[in-house]
Parts: sequence; structure tokens; C-alpha cells
Amino acid sequence: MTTNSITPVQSNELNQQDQEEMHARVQDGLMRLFVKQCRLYTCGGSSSITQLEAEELLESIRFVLRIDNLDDPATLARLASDDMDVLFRQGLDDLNRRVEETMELWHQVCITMPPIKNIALRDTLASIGQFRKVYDTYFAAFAVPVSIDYPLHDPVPETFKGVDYVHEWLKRCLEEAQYLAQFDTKECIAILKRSCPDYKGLLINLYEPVHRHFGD
Amino acid sequence: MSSIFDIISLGMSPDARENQIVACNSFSSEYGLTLTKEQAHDLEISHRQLLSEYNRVEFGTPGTIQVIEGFASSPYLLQEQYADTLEELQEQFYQLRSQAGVDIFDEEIIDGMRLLFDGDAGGATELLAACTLEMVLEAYDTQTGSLEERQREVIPDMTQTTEVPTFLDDVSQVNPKVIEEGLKALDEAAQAPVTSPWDPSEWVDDIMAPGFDGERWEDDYK
Repeated sequence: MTTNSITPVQSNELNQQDQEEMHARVQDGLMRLFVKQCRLYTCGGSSSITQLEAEELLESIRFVLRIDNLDDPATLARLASDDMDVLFRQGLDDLNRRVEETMELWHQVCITMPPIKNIALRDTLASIGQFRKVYDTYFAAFAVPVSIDYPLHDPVPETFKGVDYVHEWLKRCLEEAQYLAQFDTKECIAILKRSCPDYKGLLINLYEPVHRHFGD
Repeated sequence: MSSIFDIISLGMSPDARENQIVACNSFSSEYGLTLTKEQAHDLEISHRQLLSEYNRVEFGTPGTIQVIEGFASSPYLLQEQYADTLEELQEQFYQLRSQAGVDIFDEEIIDGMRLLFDGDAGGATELLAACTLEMVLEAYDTQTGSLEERQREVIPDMTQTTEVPTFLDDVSQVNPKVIEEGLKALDEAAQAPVTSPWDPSEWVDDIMAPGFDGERWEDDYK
């Protein structure tokens, strides 16, 4: 009987080698993408940037390409599946789609939230309204370039970045707004006044006192 | 992914970069200036030290090469001090580069340094080292024209024209059907029912208006 099969040890070595080659190819692709981004960032006018700028550009690339762990086989396989420029462009398109979804969500929050005056809420929603204009998907996709001061009952974890953070914040804010919208606005204001006379000026969450009063 | 910086900053291998420096002899030799392999090696070591000192990541043409290209034709460069002068110029470049924002191009710094070096500094690197970034950029702007002046050469001054054309001037060129449909869409949008359970004007105007002076919040909820 002839044996053509590869022994398990040899099979593992081949996979390991393939993995390493894939890793090297992905690293090379990422490096080229990074250099291209640096050239765009400097408009081709400089051959170097600061370490901080480089870290931020890299962080932005990581966010657009959705890279959590480069050693993860699934991530590696995805990044090796196509040209890095193509994957980056797809990532940007996905981000832009997320931005549009986020602005839709913002619109929903604005029309759902009862007219209870709170400066922090007002200013936060006004700032998020500018998100589409100020969000830099190319060079700072991980950043949140809007002022979000209003405190949610259930804050968004810091692990969320960029458009994901804003989307999640609005999702949670909408839940609070939908809850508050069930009740009479004047009654809510009376509850808030009893809880905190300066509910308009202070950084307080409007949902919590009302929820304590009415429950689920 | 942080290890990518090591790859970027080093770019090529040290040997390759040294060879690149030596390769500059091909044009600098026209001015009687050449570097030996040892001098190129020393320059490259200084180059890497400067990148580290100023926390810079280099992805394009190394500053060393740009300095050589920018200064090789200077009448003040002599073969006897060529390597030492390049070391000092390289250091000056990276010092200025670290002070300048990303909107300042390398060319502005190198050319500005060259103008001062050949001009007021009279070939003295100590005098050039005393020049600030503002002085270097001013030298560049003065010699090459300010950015606005350069742009004006390319972009015609629209304010000189007596007639500023707008799309309304030649409506006949636009398909009337397109205009009609556009106007119809505007009308429909204005008449669209408000879907919010709250009166938007009460929320938006009330909260967004800056009228805090003398205004009493309680009046709205009596």
C-alpha cells in the first residue's frame, strides 16, 4: 500500500507557513496603504510626520478596516482576500453608510424627545447634528469630533469609537426619549423640578428621575 | 500593528539608505562635492538619531537626500567641510520640520534654508541655525512669491470681471422640464405633513434661540 498522505506534523507546518506568508502579505499591504494615507495627509508635500500623527492615521486605518486583532485567522483571511486599497474603499463606503444611519437616528431622537429644556441635551444634540460635516473618515475615523456632554442613564462604553460610538449613544438616547414621551410633559417637568430644581442648567439625566417615579 | 512604524521609519535597510546617499554623488560631483561610504554611513546614523529625537516617522524621500539635493549647488559648500555641513543642515531641517505644521511642505523649508544660507548667512551654518521657522518661510515666500500670489497666477481674478455669471442668466440652456420638476419637489416638501408628535417650532426655536436675557423659563409652562 502506498501512502501519499502528508503526516499531521507536515500538514501543520504547511499551514503555519501559509499563515506566515499571509501575515507578511497583509503587513505589506497595510504598510503600502499607510504610506499612501500619509502622502494624502501631507498632500504630498512632506516626507515625514510626527509619531502621534502616524499613530492616529494607523488607528484610523485600523478602524476603517475593522481590525481588532491582526493575529486573528479570520481577520487575516479577510484582509488577504483582496487588494488593500479595495478593502479600504469598501470600509469607507461602509462607514459612510453608517454615518447616514446615524443621522437618521439623530433625526428620530430630535423628533421623539419631549420639549423638556435641558441645556446639555440641547447642545449635545445640536453638536451631533453636525457630525456628518465634521467626521473625518479618511484620517480620523476613530475620533468622535462632536461634543457629547449629556449623561445617559446607561453610558456608552469607551470601547466604542468613531461613528459606532455616536450611533450607540443615539440609540440609547432614543430609548430614553421614547420612555419620556409616554408621559405628560408638564408632569415630567414637575418630577424633575422636585428632583433637581436646576434640571435645565445642570448635567443631569432627565430619564432617571421620571423612571424612578413611574417605574417600568 | 505598532511594529509597522519600525518598518516605515527605517523604510529601506540602513545599507540601502547609505547607498542612496552615496548615489547622490552622481549630481553633486558636478559641483566638486562627493561623499565617501563612511561619511554616508555617519550621515545615516545621524539621520536615524534625528528621527528618533524629533519623534518623526518618515515615509518618503529621506530628509538627508532632500538636503543634499537642495544644497549641492550652493557656492558656499566646499568639499573639505561637505559631510560636516550636511550633518548640520540635516539637523536644522529636522528641527524646523518638527516645528512646522503638516501644511508646510518640505520644499518650503529646504528652499527657504538655502536662500538664507546663500544670502544673509553667507554660508555659515551657525548663522543659519539661529534662523527661526518664520524667517525661513518668509525667505521662501519673498523669493518665490506668497501662496496667494502664486495662486493668483493660476486662478483668474474673478472680481475683475464686470459680469458674474449665474445659472439664472441662461435658463434657456436648462431643460424647462427639469426646472418644473425641481420647483414641484420643493413645493411638495414644504407641504409635507409634520410627523413629529411635538410641534417642532416649539422645540427647535425655544431651545436653539439664544434669548436667555430676561427670559423666564417658568413662563412657558404656566
